[in-house]
Amino acid sequence: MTGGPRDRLIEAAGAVSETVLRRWAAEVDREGRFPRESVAALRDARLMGYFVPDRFGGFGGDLTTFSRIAAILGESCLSTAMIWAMHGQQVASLADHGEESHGETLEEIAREGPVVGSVTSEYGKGGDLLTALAPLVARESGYHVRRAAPVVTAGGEAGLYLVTMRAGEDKPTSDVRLVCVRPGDGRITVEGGWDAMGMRGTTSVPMKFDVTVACERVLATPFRAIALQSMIPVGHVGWVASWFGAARGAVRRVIRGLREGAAKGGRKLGSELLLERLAGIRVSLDLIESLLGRVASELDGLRRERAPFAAYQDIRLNLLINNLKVAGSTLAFSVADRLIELVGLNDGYLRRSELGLERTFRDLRSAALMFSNDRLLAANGKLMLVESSGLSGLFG
Amino acid sequence: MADMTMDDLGERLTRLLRKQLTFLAPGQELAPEASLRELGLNSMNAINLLLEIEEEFGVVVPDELLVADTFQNRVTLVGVIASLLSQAETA
Repeated sequence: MTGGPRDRLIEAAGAVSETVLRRWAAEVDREGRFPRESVAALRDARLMGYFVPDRFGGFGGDLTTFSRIAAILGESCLSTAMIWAMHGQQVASLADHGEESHGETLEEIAREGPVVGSVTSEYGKGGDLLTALAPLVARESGYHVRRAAPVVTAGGEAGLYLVTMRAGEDKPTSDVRLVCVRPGDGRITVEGGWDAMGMRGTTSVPMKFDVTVACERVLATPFRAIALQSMIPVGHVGWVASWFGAARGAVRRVIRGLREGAAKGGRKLGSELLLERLAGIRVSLDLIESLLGRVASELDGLRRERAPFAAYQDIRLNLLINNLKVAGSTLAFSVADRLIELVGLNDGYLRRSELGLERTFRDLRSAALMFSNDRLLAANGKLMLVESSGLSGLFG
Repeated sequence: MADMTMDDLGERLTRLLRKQLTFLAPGQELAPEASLRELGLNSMNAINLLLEIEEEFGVVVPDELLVADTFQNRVTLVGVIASLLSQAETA
């Protein structure tokens, strides 16, 4: 134990996960409600300011530690882990691209820990993160932001929002800006509920925004650069780490259950079928962890050296980041699926089972659907066709 | 090249470019030397453009030509395609 700030933060996350998150996870899932006790505990542990630079009172964290913490949280409550990871994705985007002009906001995030909601979904544009339809409209007092979003994770509970908007009425849908919106800026309403198969605590609700913001709330960096440099890489690392944690937690619960069961004279552990199934599951866990560690470390290297935007457009890097998401989502879900097969109907399929596998299974079913794997694979196929060229580095 | 004038080539290329240059308004003229990058060409739509050019003109643009000079403007692209077409003809 080195006892450095990083280790202390990881320890704090572990303590919060094993006590508060574990205590409330089943209820949060059953009731489909925001995990307010768990998020409050993250706030108390100062985890909400993880990506806020230290000069603004935050932790100024790296992606490797971020992924370890997300996994620790994911072991107990995947909804809470995902809310924290997506919050981190937003804060990193703001810290990387809006530092000076948004210093006060970053200080507030470090100090008070409001959830920062991500508003990128929009009716009628499909799942393309990099486009926006509703335009910013210039007014004397700033910009009018008026738009609806079908899915905003923890939208009803957020204290700040980062909203993608088309740069102006005369701008194409690919010219997108990111806007920092506060609840006091105008009318912000939750337009419906979130009754989902899994990830029920994320309360990813439809919302409407009709607000006016000062000009400096619009980040100057084009959203495409923010997305490629911060939002997508940090998001994919955070999501996959959360999924990995959920799968690892499920495996640990099953192993404990198997040994306790055997000790009470139940199922024998010598069965080759059982051992092989267990070992196969470990292969999947190790594959996710290894890819996660590799991507996080490569991105940390780029972030440390303040690499230019061109570095983030590298085809190989983008293939790798996309593959992390595709592989992590697929393998983590398959772990949950195979664990249910391994322990059988009574311990695996029933809602009352203490192993909680059916919740993990439902939760992880969402992994392939978020930022859809189909779309990512189609993009990767295209990237592979030109990977041997230097094409990606040519454009800003 | 025998059946295709430079004008034809330029016109067919402009059609492909319009689909990818997101900052070029529908009625706006595409000036021959206008910067494609400023008109919205980025790494992803450059890939789309490249694959469409290869399909439209039946050529494969070799890696050594996938450089900034090639994608500067319409003129530079026309030059590269014309040269690849004429190589294909003499081969």
